[in-house]
Amino acid sequence: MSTLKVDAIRHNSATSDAITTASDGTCTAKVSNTRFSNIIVNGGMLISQRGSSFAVADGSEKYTLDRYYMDFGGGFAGGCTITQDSDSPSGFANSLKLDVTTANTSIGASHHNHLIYRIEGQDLLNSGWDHTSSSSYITCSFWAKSVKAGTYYLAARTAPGTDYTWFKGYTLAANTWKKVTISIPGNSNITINDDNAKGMDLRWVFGLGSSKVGTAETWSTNLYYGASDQANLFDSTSNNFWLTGVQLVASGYQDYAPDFEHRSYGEELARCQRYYYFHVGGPNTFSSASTEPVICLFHMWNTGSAFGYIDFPVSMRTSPSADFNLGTDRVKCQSAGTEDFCNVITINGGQTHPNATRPYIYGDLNYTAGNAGLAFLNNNDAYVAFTAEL
Amino acid sequence: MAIYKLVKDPLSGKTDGVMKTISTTDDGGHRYLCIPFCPDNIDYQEYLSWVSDGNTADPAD
Repeated sequence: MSTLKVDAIRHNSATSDAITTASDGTCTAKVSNTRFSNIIVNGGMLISQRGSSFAVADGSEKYTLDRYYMDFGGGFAGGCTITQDSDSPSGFANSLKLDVTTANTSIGASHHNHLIYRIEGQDLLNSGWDHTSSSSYITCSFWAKSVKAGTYYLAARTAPGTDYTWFKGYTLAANTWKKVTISIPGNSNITINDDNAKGMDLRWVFGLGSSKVGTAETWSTNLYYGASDQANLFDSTSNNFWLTGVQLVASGYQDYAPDFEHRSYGEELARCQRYYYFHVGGPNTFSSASTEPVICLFHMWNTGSAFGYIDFPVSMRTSPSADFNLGTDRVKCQSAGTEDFCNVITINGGQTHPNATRPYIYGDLNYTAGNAGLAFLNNNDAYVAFTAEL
Repeated sequence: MAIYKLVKDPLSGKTDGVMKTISTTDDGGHRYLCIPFCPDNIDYQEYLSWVSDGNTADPAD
């Protein structure tokens, strides 16, 4: 029996050690296929509860695929459509596709355009990243592809207290998937709280005005999002951009990203439902919707109004807003052998909690007080959803 | 008519939320948010910002 005694092991072409040994008999290793907990929800772009296609422009910024918000900051001109797409690198089935539909060839000085992912502070503070230390890193990795070759930037922006931004560039060849790895250092000036509010966001930048560019890899309060070589993806309607495999982990090393943590559809959907829960919808809405789906059970409080109960499948981030698409006779009620129609469901704030809510159903109902019943959607476009986004 | 309208608890009569109209359609469709008075809710934070800009929500029914 023999013993190999070395202080480190490194590949011939590598610039850092893969394994370092310590005098106490332990070692530290960069193992690329070890599972780390990915902070990002829906990194594989599996979930799109709000719909299948999202037209976005200045004034109509919105959440698109679950957790990804498209922003046209400062009045950025142009427009795009975001969809869930099957074009993806090996090992993935989906991507987020940004299709430029209205060009912007002259970006205003203060304008900025980016796709944003917002992260709760408590998820960052419990990740293993020391956000106050410049020698501690949290690493974002993702796969990207663009019709337009060039340099793009990934920016991070902290939220509590004074906002700070940090960014680093990456280059893409035209129409070629590339895995990008960017490590974000901590900084003693930034603040992230251990709570359910936004601690930091990540921004994939697609266009920047001249007053929004600065020096890369520096935390700053100037709210710059990239450098002057940032490509303008919006300069042609021929341009598309794809993104998938988004991961954020505190691996303990700079520029080191472990393999992507693939999750099942069900697991990823449950994580998304912390922020947005599509309860029921007609056939023209989310793909799991059906004709006349049940909204809830109810009991008649008096002859003209009823209270129901909706239980959320997971605890939401905070008391959610109810998102209703209803209208004339879009709710059908059944009770005591008869059907009736009503127009309105409201939810008052005092009866809304992260786990459940009490809808108030009224408008043209006429049942006996105390009766039980079922409420259904009665329109192909109608839906009931709940949102507790950041 | 303002885009926001206050909402009362039908039992207690206490105002504890606000309704925001997002859009309406010709066929009677009405998309709206029912927003609780919850400090962590970003829709409520947006409503407070709207109020601080000098706007006033319609009263509850």
